[in-house]
Amino acid sequence: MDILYNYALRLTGSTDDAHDLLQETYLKAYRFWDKFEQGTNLRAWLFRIMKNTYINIYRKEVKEPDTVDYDEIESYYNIIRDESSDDNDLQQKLFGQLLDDDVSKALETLPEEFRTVVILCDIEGLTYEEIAEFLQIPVGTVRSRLHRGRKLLYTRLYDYAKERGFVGKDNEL
Amino acid sequence: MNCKDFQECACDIVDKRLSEERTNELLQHATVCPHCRYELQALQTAKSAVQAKIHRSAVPADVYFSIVASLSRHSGTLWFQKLFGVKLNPALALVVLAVMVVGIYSLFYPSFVPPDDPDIINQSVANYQAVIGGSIQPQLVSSNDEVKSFLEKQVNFAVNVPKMKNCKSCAGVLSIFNGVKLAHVVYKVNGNVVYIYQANMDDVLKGGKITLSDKVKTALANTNWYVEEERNDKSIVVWRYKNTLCAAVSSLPKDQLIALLTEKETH
Repeated sequence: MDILYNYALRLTGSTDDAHDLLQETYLKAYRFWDKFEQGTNLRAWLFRIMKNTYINIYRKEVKEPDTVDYDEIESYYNIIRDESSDDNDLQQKLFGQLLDDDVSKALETLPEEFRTVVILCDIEGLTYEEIAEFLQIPVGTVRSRLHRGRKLLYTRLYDYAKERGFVGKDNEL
Repeated sequence: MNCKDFQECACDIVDKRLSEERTNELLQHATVCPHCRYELQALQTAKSAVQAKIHRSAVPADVYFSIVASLSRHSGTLWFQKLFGVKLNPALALVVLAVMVVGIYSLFYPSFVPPDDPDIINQSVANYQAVIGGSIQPQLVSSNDEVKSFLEKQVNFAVNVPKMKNCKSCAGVLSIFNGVKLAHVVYKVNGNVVYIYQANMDDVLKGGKITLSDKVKTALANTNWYVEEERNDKSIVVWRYKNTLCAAVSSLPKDQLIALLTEKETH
């Protein structure tokens, strides 16, 4: 149940909504138990119920950052890259001082399809194959969403780091 | 090897999904291509930031019990059993019951040596170990009703003897720790021991003789429940029953232990 709860927390960004979403997921699972195919992955089935419940109910009520011009992000990423020097200590210099909330906020701003694969891979530790089964998409799609999601996350984190002066004119990477 | 090949596999490098040979081949490209090198660092940085700054949470006990309670109204259905991985087998036959009673007896030997630590959870875990190790002797092995009646004659609180569907009998033990009367109930469920420590809540709240940590007290005050898992592979569930503090310990996973404890209304 913990994996569903953590996913709900990241989806909704609120403990109260996460509790409701978790409860709703289990109640729906009960109602549609006859639809569950015996021998298939129960956890993946519950996960899909949660995802669909979130899309149908919660996303209607919340402004969802679901549309993103990835070409624009790519251009911005290229600007960041070009203004940064080649530095092996990138992680430490850039993100060592960021707060937990900064990373949570950055993750919440990702479009849901990218956010989901990042959560499942980097927080829950699922393999690409498991994620593919959860989301019913090819492994190649998992890989490309993960690539884009992480790159997008990186640009958001870079912005936070820049706002706080961890990177910038006097602190070029 | 070109940049396109590298970028297609960059996440696989970050997630260590490739062979050493293939990884080295790709990293060789990164040494001569600053853009790909930067990209690899960016992906790794994003992953590291998420792993370092975002922490997983366990489902809060009140949320868990709220869901279990709402679903257990439908308990007995195949769905509930499968969803929580708990087998609610039909009642055991008399022969099986007799075997179980002998099995419970075989867990115990004379003498009850309580631990010195006044912390109730530590005591519960130590008592559970004593049950497994055979240093606690049951004073009565019988039906839930009889065990409850027997224990309640000796203590000044309501004793909780939950009925478990696949367990028709249990064992009762009384003890005194630092002058405080305690009741202990033990079950053997499908080969697993479930031990429940019980004390008067007033004695617990007074502290001193038997104690609970602030963390547990807060959880009980907020939700009536506290769950701790994986303490040396044992699950611990603490809850309040009327004016009684109950602490269950078992090697069963926490989900199964909770399902057993909430399977039916207690007496």
